[in-house]
Amino acid sequence: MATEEEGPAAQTGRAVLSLATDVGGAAVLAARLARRMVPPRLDGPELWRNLYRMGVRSLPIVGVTALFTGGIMVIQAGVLIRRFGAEGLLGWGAGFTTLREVGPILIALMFSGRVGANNTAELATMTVTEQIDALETLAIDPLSYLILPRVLSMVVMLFVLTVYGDVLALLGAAFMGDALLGVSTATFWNGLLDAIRVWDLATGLIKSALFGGVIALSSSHYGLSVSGGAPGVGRAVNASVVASATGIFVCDYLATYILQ
Amino acid sequence: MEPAKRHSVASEQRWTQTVPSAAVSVLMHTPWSGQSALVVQATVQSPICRPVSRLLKSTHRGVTSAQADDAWQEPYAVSLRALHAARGTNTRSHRRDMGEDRCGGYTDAPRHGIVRSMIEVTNVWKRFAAPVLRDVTLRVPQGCLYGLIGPGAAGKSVLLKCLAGLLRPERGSVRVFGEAIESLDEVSLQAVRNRVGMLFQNNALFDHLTVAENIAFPLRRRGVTDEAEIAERVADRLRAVSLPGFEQRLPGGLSGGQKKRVGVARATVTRADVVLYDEPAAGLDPVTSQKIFDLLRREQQEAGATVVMVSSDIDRLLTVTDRVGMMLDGALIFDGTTAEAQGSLHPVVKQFVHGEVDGPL
Repeated sequence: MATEEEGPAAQTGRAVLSLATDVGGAAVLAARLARRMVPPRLDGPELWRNLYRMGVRSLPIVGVTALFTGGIMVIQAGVLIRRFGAEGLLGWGAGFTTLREVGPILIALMFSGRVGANNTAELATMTVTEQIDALETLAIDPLSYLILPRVLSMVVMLFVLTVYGDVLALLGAAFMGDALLGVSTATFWNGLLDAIRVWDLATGLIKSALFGGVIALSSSHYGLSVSGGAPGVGRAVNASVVASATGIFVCDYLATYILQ
Repeated sequence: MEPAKRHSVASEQRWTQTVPSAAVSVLMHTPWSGQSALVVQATVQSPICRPVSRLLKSTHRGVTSAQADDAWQEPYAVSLRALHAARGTNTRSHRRDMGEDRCGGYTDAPRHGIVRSMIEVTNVWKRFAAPVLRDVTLRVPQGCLYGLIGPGAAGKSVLLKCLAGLLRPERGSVRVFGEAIESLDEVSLQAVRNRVGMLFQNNALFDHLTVAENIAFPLRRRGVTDEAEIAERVADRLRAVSLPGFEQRLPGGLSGGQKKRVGVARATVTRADVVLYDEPAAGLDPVTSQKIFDLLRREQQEAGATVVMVSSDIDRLLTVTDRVGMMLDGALIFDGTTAEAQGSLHPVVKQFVHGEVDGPL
């Protein structure tokens, strides 16, 4: 905790140490989970439960987000499309940005806000109410029983939701292009399919899996390392959302650079 | 020669240089059993006893550290056990009826190390920001209900978590069933935990499970698959804590006292050998508190379990305990029978046990 006497150097040092603690903690968690993957040691029913509540229950919010994202992109592009008469490029422009960048990032941020925050709150509450300790005393490994199913569910379901969101975003873009700019859906889909490569789609999906891992690790790490009772749960959720968003953008930058 | 055999022969050669030959011959030519252990106890009378018991552990597969440590027991314990065995009086109920003790041994047993300790804490240190356990040494004999008292932040709950293997001490040793908890890997630790039940201060009921599922949880995780048996045992536990018909309720819909009782039901459903209770009656009204303490005592006696109980409700706690330890600032400042605690002249213990306002606390 920072004190009034601390100078800028001390505060910077403390912040760096805190960052290192969190990044290191998440890395250690990842390593411990990896150990439980060979051979796989996880609770099957818990995995299915998490796949359902994290994936299926996220469909409405992701769908709405994706539809509006596609529409907004067409509105933004409308000015240029009209000025240059480049209606044939609408499908390519919308598809390229949606599949490679906007779709995975926006869906990941929505997923982080809904599922990641919920995961942190749940784990943090279980930690402060000693439910995690109770699992251990019942000879149950919390990482295998609780965390691994959640991490796998988040990675898998964010990937699936990104595919689902991409499709809806493109449908939204096609509809808005027709309604707002008069670009026929045939023109839109032709422009899209002619210009977009499979690699563009794959790039976005690889990113979504990475984002899923970032959200899962950060939300689980903050949930398990909470201290300070009920106020601590609030702080953990806040820190988890911020860390997830930061991690998503850092990962996006690195992945974009590497996957060019 | 195989490496294992070479090691075994080398160990035996070392014994023959240090241990009386009669004992060695028994150890070398009979399989490990209670009888051979008695011979060792009766014949090996030197400071080398401890190394011998450790060698036994290291060279004989299947000999647990607890059995090896039994070889360290004092010889007159052997004669007492043999006497009781011959008379058919070596049963817990008989000893209890005879008023010999309520700790699974003899009245002065823990002091002389006769009764095998289910829990042994030796010179344990633990710190977080500041030291929370300081050089704690404690023995809890088999079948004993041990009360741990002390003011807030004295280290009671931390010690309980060390016993459950949830925290590892920085120094010292915590042995449960003779196994050194701090040095066990996860798999071995889980085997120990399968024999331990625990009630947490916050009850630690799983919010997403119903009352019945919470109570059945330890049974299912221990491989009980017969649904009829699970339902029967859950119903039995709920009757024991006066909550029949609560099977399908969720923990969120229960009062504090009801949650506590469900926690007790879950902690006792497996009839664990060692049960740890952290504030089992916190937040309960006096009548319910006394019912809970009576229930825990009855459960402990029926199951023959070894129990360590932390409670701030001193008056009621002392009605059920066999032995009492008092902690202050991370140190165990008193360890004795309940009667000794009530009659203690130690100023801190006296003030705390009798709830006096004036005193060092």
